[in-house]
Amino acid sequence: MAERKLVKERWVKQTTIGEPRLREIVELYKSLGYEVHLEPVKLDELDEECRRCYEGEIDEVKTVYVRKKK
Amino acid sequence: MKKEYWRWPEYRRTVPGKDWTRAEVVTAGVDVGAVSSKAAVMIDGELYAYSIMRTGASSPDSAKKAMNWALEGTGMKLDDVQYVVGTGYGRVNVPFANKAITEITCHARGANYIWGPTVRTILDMGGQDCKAIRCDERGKVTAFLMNDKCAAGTGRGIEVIADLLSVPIEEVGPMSLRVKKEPEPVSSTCVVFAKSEALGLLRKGWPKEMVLAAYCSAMASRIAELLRRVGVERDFVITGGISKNIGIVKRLENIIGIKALPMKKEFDPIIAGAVGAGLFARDLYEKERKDA
Repeated sequence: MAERKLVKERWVKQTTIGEPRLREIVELYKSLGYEVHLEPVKLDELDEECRRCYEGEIDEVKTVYVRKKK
Repeated sequence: MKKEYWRWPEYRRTVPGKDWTRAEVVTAGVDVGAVSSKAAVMIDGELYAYSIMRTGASSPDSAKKAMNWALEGTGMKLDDVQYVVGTGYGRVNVPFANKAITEITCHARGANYIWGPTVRTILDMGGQDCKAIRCDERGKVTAFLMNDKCAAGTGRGIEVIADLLSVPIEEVGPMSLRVKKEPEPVSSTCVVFAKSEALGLLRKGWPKEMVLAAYCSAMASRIAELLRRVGVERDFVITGGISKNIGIVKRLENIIGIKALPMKKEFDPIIAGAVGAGLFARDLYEKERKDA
């Protein structure tokens, strides 16, 4: 989903992270009363200097967005 | 053998004047981080003994070693510990843990125990990640932010720079403050790129303290951004290994305009997560006992 659309829907970007941290923070945000949306990360959208660290595990890395439940 | 400048002191401690054999409830928290493993043994909700050591290749082994080391010389055996909570990056790999709890939750609880109920913001600067945590007067997490999947601006980055410049890790902070004029921060705190940038600065003739100042300054800016996003409310405290790097802490305090509460002599800020886990262990043990 495009960033602009996510922002329009009140989603706030938190972090970009992979397992095992990802599951942990998703659970924690939910326990704090947030809805969580996970957005896949595309290598070509990353800064050039970050790409080499994400290569090979790009599928398990997600960008975490949250918004307070209505 | 090449000197390992990144190596920080591993140690254990028993809090003097306490007798565990008289305790009603003995619990422990084991925090297996990406870089360091910590075990805190609690008697009736008070810290009794702890250990801090480097995490090895195996999380279960690291957990066992940290726990055994914390118990060393106390006469206590693992069987005497009634409930254990695992936390940290390797929390699900603590073989003797009764339960695993996230380290964000444990750090907040541990900071509340160490500094008291006035703590509202915790910055945990760990070996491979950095977390800004907000909590209430009971140490319950109310909001948090974690850095991106990246070792930039974390303890591992400092270790790499210490080794590169052949400066013992404990001296990185104080040395970085020995500059007359603050240099521009390095452009990247990425471990890979900062290394080449630092080498470039050395080749240009920059003294080590200038290079360290530029690196610490970049790290402080990066961490300040995380804090700005989550919002800093007093009292503010710092846990994790980088809390001992005065060069980063001072610069960070200057940027955010808030001073962190000083470290407590009797508590190493690295063990906050393990202490929090040990306190949760006591609650869970009491609950189980009540339910039974």
